[in-house]
Amino acid sequence: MIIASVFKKFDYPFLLSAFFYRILKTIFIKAGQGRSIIRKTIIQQIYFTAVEVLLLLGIIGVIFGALVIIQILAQLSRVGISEALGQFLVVIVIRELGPLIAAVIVILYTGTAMATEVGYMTVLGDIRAITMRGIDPIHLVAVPRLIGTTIAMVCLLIYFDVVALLGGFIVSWLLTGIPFYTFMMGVAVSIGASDIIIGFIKAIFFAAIIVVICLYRGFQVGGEITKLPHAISKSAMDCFLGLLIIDLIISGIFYL
Amino acid sequence: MKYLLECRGIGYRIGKNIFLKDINFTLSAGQNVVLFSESDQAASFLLQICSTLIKPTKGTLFIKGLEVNYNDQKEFLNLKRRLAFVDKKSTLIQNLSILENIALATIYHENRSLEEIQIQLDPIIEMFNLQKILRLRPAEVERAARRRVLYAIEAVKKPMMAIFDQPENDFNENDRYYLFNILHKLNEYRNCGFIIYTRSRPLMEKWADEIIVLKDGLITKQVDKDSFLRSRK
Repeated sequence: MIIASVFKKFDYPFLLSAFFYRILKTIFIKAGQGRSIIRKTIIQQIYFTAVEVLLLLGIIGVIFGALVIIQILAQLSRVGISEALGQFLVVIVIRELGPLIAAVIVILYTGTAMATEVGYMTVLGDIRAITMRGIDPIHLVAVPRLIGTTIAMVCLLIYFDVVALLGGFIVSWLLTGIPFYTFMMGVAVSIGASDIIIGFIKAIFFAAIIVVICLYRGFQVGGEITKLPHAISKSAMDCFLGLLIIDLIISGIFYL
Repeated sequence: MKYLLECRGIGYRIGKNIFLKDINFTLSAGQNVVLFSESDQAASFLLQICSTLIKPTKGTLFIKGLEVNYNDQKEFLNLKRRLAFVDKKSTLIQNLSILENIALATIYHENRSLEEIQIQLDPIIEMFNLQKILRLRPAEVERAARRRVLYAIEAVKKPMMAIFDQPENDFNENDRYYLFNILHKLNEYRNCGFIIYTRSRPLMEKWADEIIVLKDGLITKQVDKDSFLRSRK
């Protein structure tokens, strides 16, 4: 009894893994089924996750890049190596914080919306209605959201990195007069193919964890509307923790 | 003989509450069975079990002679495609238009676009008088129209078996002919079997071949329509 209750406390990662496995299995088993409707939902998801947040993420990216440069400049000006600004920006933004901040935006904007939508779908009987039409809700609801969010997340990461570099350059130029060419050379020298690939790997894993947690929490709402607010806040918190753990693992594997 | 549906020793309980004890009955193709029960809840659970929406806590359900396997998802979903079921909890998918709601199953299973299948759906749309609301969302149409859409969705399935929970509540007196019309068409062309839970005497008179009386979680009577109606005058 005690052992069972202890195990129950720690079964959440296993339940999430099982749910993720079920989505992946459905992608392959039902490939080609309901193509038009799945494609439409994927496009809607990409639009919602990536296109609608472009302006917001752009502003955040520019401000973030600028802030990083201000802090680096404050330190580097003492030792007089401000030519290395681009290199530091690569290390901080592209390798580490870029994917994390883009993912946090996706949690706040898409993840919570996804948990709410699916939670409402279970409360209002939409999931039951889908099942009664002989359609697997995992295929119709979860699969396009996973694919769409993953594609959107990779695009957002590229976009965020570019605008953060741009913001960093503008501040560097305003404060030190560093030419665009010198700044970009610093970036180009420091950035390697591995940084870009690792960034994409992080984006894919981040998207997967966000979608899996938010959908799982949404599906768990069942028929009780009172569970919905709790599910939304829990999904946001779990996603954030999940992101940090995955980031730690990936960075540990590739950079240590 | 292969029955369309066979309930063998079906029981259903939630915790200590026992709703169904030992239900045994069969439904053949083209047969219209009306369920009569004093308890809405027990009848509702029985209908949900027959439509495979919930799993009985006891007994076995056979559809077309095969035991329902709740674990084989593919088979289970295929089965649902051929069953029509409307109850009080049935709803439309809120973020799809009325037309998309009606067409969803066909779009999904047949991999066709909405434009391609609209001609195929037109007779059913007309039958249920839904032409004017096709582009609207469920929240934008009145309840009676939403209920008509639910029946249209089930009619599109070309079901082998239709299960309706108090359909008289979904239609007012003037609209009731919609229901009779669609029930008649389904039955005439597709040899569909029906289980209808109703308290409506006109519906029983017009529709039932056999009446099953459910009391205290058991089937107490299985009689023909005339003798049942005579006994309840």
